[in-house]
Amino acid sequence: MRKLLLLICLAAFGSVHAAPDGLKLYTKHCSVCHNENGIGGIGLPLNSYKVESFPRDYLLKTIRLGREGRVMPAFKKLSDAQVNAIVDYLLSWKKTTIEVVFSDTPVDGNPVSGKLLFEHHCAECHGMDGKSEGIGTGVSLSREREFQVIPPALNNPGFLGAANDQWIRHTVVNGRAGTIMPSQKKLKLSNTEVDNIVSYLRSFEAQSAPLEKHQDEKPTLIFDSPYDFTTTIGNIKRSLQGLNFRYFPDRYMEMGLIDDKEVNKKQLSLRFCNFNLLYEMINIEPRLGVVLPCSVTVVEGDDGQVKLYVMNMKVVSRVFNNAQLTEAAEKMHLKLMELIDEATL
Amino acid sequence: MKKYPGLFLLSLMLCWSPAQAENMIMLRVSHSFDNTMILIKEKLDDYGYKVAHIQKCDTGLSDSGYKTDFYKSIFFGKFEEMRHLTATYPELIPYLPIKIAIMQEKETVLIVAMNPETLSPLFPSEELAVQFARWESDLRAIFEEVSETQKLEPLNPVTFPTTINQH
Repeated sequence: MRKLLLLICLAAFGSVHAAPDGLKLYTKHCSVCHNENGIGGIGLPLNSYKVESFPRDYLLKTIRLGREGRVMPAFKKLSDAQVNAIVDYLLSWKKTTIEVVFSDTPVDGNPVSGKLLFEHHCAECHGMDGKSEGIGTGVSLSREREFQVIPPALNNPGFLGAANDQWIRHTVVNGRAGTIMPSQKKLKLSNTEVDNIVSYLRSFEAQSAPLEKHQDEKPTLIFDSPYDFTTTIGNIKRSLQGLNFRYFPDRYMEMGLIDDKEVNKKQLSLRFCNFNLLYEMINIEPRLGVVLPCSVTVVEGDDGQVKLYVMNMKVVSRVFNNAQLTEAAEKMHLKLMELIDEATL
Repeated sequence: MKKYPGLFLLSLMLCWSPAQAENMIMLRVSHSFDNTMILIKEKLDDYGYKVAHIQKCDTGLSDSGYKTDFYKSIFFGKFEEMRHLTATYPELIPYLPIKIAIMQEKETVLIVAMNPETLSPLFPSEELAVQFARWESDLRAIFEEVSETQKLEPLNPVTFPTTINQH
């Protein structure tokens, strides 16, 4: 028995400590957003022209820290060996073997002057607040985009934690190949001005605060209807038309799961969509389909009380780690509240 | 086993690999969109789920004049679960049936589901925790099986053109 347990231990130890396979890990954790060959999708492209200039440390920290509010999650549970293996795999796409390393020496510039320079030269793409002007985060979901690559949010704890000053400085000096990011030379900036911009970017660190909105809100909004089941449904449909929503055929909750004759006919899901709004929201967050379509479920209880059940978009939007979606969800929430008010007035 | 509880525990700890608690369970496949839909429906069936209906997001967007690629959501569940959960935990109703979104992204297809475990802190209940864990486990297994249907090969990175394309 002792030998057997020792064998189990050794086998388990071996499986845990075998060198992780970067390709497999990349495929499992990264390719769903960045695509199998790094061309990007929901996530930014990572292919050769990008990784060519990425320091190893920046990639390691980016995987660990993620990008708060910008879809990219923080992979905190991967082991150091696994993160290293993923980075090795990414760096294998480089065409050169030159290792890019930047010292951690801080850049000593003037952030006040840097702010003016940033607003003049950088804000058009990166946003006045440094949180990016681009919609969404990746390159495309077979749809039009203003930029092939969305300008990254610089005012983001993940970016600021991953990029050291010298790396940011290098980027400002050289620009970014394959994007519209210009070089220092093209912008006619002096070295001091570049330092000032870097110091201004670093000053964002003091402002960046974690997103903790709607932490106490309920995931489901429940309303009593003063009307009977049929009248409530009629009211909702009228309100949907008034609010420019297109509604889909009625569906009982259990439909499709059992014979139609057996379904509970006191649970009706009214599903609807405003496709203009949907298009806008899918541009911000392509994965939105996992919570679509919008719906209000009307349920009549055994006591005859009719209740309405609605997903709280403000809470659910948190799941996506997408600050832009959270903002859009708040607008959607107001529309839904208007709908409920009209239907239950 | 009783003689070496420490050793046994150590072996279990070494074997156990914590699941990543991602909010989304996602997979990219190189099958055609239609084949992916068929494959997912087959796997759902294998795990005892029934497809309740399919939401054609792409059709709605196209009808409204927007350019979009294939984008559909599969709603699925088990009747007994649905009846029990809606009666016992009506606050869960807007989240049912559970769904998988399937979207074409150029030559590949992306399959996404919200990780049911994400709902656990929102609906604190021991019974629901078990239910969410079961759904997560089934979804991961289904995604894994769909993933296994394609060959894993090293891919050559594709370099973007240096000009900006308007899609």
